[in-house]
Amino acid sequence: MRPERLSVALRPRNGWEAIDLGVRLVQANARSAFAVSFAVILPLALVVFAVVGYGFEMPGLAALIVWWLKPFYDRVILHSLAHAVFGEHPSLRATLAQIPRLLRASHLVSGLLWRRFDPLRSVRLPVDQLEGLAGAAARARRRVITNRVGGAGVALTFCFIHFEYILWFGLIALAEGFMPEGMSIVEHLLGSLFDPEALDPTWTLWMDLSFGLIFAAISAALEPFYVAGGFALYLKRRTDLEAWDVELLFRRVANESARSVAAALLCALCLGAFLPGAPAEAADTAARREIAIREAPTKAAEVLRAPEFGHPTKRKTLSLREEPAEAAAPPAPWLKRWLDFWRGAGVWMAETLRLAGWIGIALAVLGLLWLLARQAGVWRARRLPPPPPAEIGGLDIRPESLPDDVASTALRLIESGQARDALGLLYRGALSRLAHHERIPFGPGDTEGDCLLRVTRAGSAHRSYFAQLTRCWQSVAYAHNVPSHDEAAALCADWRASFGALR
Amino acid sequence: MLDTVREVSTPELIALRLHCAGPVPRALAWLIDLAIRGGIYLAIAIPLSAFGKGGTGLVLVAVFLIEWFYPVLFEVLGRGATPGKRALGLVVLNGDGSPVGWGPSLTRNLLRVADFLPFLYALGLISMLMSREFRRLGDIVADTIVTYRRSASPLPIAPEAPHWRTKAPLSRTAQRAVLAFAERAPRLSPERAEELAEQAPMLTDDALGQQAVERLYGLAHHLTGRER
Repeated sequence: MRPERLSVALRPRNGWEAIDLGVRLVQANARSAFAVSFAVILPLALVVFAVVGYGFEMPGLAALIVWWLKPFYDRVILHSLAHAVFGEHPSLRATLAQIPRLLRASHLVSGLLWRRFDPLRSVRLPVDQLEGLAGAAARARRRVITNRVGGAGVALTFCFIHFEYILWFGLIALAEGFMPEGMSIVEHLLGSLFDPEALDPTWTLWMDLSFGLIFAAISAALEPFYVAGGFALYLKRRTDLEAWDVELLFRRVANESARSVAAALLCALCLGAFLPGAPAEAADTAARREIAIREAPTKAAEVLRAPEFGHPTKRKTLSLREEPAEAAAPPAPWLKRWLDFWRGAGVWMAETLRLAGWIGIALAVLGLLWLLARQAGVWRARRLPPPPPAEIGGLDIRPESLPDDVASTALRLIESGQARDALGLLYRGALSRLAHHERIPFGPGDTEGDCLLRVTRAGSAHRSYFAQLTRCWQSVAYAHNVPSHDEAAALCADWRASFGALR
Repeated sequence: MLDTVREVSTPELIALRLHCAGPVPRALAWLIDLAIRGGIYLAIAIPLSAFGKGGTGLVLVAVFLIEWFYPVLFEVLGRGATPGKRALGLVVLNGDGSPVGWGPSLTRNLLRVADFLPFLYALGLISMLMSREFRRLGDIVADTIVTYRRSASPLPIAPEAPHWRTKAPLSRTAQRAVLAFAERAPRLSPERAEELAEQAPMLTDDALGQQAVERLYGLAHHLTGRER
């Protein structure tokens, strides 16, 4: 177990927050989590419903079997999530290839028999599957892990049982709303409860099969959240028991002191010519975050493509029946012409209105889609990165606020003894160039330290110069330590070398 | 790093971390509120049933008013939480972390109708499961979030320990690490606490075992000013 490779933030959490972290975990790894759950649940459900439900005409039993096998699906989903927590993303094929091993080595038999109704099964699952203990040791370990998170674990199970039914009834209620007059799913459901004899058996069979399959699909959509909730509770408990977050802090302190020793040595050797490089781990997490941000819109689109967000519907429309021509005396020619004109005009007007109606509906649907897409952030990727702010911590960084040749202007200021203004200008100019050309995402409220951190994280080529400049600027601005003339002039020259070519 | 925190900066440039609350605690809070409202309806309906049809009318008016304004009144006048939310430690805030007012509270609670569709908050649930900060539609429209009042339970104070200081001044990370250790170590097993303390030789002058733990405690007492 190497806590430094975890992709979730470690901190003391209460049980509820841990469950929420599970939801975030699924959101961040939606593609793999849902791919695994749908790939495991749906084919199995189709086979069971075809054989038991349709073949033996026992749709109720088929639904029960699909529901009963949940601990099996949970194990495959947990396999994928446990890798995702460490920033690994095994392919769907690789995950499915692990199924035989998971069947043997994750206490599946007890999970499907006497521990099927365990209200804490999602919290105990990681112990069974990831720690590989057996017998009394496993029991003791499960007790330790569930010790202080029992309430949250039971609440998790309680809530997700109800969430499943809520979504299931929700889909049925939605379908009921679109039923033509005289047909009703709810009436059918009530009928099958109270008076099953009165219903058409074929119709009943197909209804029950489709309800069961819908329920399986909803289970596939919710099961990752449930498993991730239990897994997050497990992680919380282990973080509490083993203080992983403190361990990480100590490791960072150790790195820091090693770096400061190295820096002191370097300074002594090279008279402070350069600073130690950026910490590799910061660049690593930044890169991982960049990847996650870049993949976010495609992941959201991926979720929206899942079957719950749209399914084929059958539409029936009413149309006028052909009326038999009435045998009436032919009207006078002028009257006939007059009537024909108006009848034609009426049809024409009706057609126009109908067309206008359809156009209106199409526009409304397009508008709604546009609103939805804007809400889901489909177009946000194109706007990335956001425009740099006009000010950072009170310093104006718009390029138009700077003189054309920043370095020369600063040099002139230094010659005239205004070293403070000169360094301020250099610092402001450097921020402006970094924000506008390298697109480093400064926030308007960043302090000098934050800016330096962002530049280092972004791996900018000018980070060592920027660090030096920041140090000088801070000591002038806050400690009134005016640098020597030579040092200030060297800073100007370096500024020109670093940013002079950028405009 | 995945986390459930929304970072907000105040006009004074102070970064606040709001801990967003997800669907499970919010569903439980809703259940508690539902039970409380049910109790109120019963308490109103039993005496008013003596007045026949007029009484029924009054009950319906009361149900209407309570159903729509119970959450709004509690959220605005009760520091952001209905009794159910208070029981779960939740509080409703504006998106920028300020207390929720009449407008946003009315908006988010009137939109319960949309979240309720098509059956018992199915849309709201989907919206919460899919949004980063677990917002239902009403929260998105009113720009509010539901957060935890306090993130973790208060931590114990480290036991007494002999005086200890390092030779070099401590960086801010090191201070945080020492304080975090002193808060967490009393709940760890002694072996794990010693193992952890030995990972910080630069703070304990390469002490081992129980001595390393005690030196870190001593340092923490020095930092928090609890030293005698």
